[in-house]
Amino acid sequence: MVGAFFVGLGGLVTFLFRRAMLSMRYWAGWLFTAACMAFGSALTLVFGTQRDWYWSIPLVVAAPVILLISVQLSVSISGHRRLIIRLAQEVAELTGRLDAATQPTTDARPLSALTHSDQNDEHAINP
Amino acid sequence: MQHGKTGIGTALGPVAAVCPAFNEAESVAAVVRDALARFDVVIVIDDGSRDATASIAAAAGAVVLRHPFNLGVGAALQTGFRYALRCGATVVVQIDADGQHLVDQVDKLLAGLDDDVSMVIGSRFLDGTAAYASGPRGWAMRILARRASSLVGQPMSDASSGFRAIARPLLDEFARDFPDSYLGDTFGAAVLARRHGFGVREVSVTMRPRQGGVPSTGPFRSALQVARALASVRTAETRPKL
Repeated sequence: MVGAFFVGLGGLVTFLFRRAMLSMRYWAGWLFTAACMAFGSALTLVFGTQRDWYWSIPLVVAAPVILLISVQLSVSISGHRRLIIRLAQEVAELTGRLDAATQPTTDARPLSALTHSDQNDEHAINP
Repeated sequence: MQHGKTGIGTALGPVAAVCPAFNEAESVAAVVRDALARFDVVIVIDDGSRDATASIAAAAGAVVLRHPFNLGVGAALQTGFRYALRCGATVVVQIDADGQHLVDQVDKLLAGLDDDVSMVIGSRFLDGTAAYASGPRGWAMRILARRASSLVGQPMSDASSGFRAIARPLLDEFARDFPDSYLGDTFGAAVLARRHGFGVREVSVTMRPRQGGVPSTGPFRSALQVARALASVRTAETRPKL
């Protein structure tokens, strides 16, 4: 039962990773954690006695909640990381365009060398 | 429209060089000067360098886009792709700021582009004259090449080469969605190109050793990241398109 939960956790993080909601490092970390826990659970079932389980009942009850909260945090951080990257890229592009617009043009400047080949293109600078 | 300093660009349209740089003050000026002789525009993306990379590149004549902090080579390339497209480029050539890539080899890359092939990768090992590095680095390169061959569906000898030419419309796809993880810009990009249905080709090129600075990733971290990239690429490949 406990082992199945951790296998399910592995499936959940892989699903989130495929939807680009979880970054690769968190996916790998959670998958590794789930695999270890599932393996540990299997070992406990094989070698443990009923008595050995008593102390771990609260942990077993609390663990799913803690893990779900942690996964949610990972998703949130991954999303923020993606947004920060996008923001930094936009800042870099805007600064570059400002530099190009405000500095004297030379042969090395792109906007003198290249024309906007397709004004309908989504990447083209608006006239 | 002025394009094609080499003449090849006349058929392909304007060609831009995109050069991600992180703490490459020692080598970036020479790279930019060489590239300006061959390309319509040279775009250096300073990925949060702590040295004078940005100002040196700008003084050498490059267009410099500055990331406020280090985002990784994948994000830097994506910034360059977007800017190149906005300037009207139809083809970009990725070159490293450490001076490993020789601009006189660029014609080989551009000649490999056609209607069916949108990405041409410069391979050090294709013709057998260069050998893989020894030790863990060489093992990793072999494993990556084997895995890339399997995922791309054709023999790949140098999956970690960052010397490549990319043409529209693949360039548009990469401007929208480009892997930002370690090796995502090389190994992952080739897999992603195939996934989008674009042809990928390798051509034999010559490279030289790094001309200055130090690699940003040590051997242990590189090995860890190679393992992570190999583990994730199949899952990443089946991601729904963003």
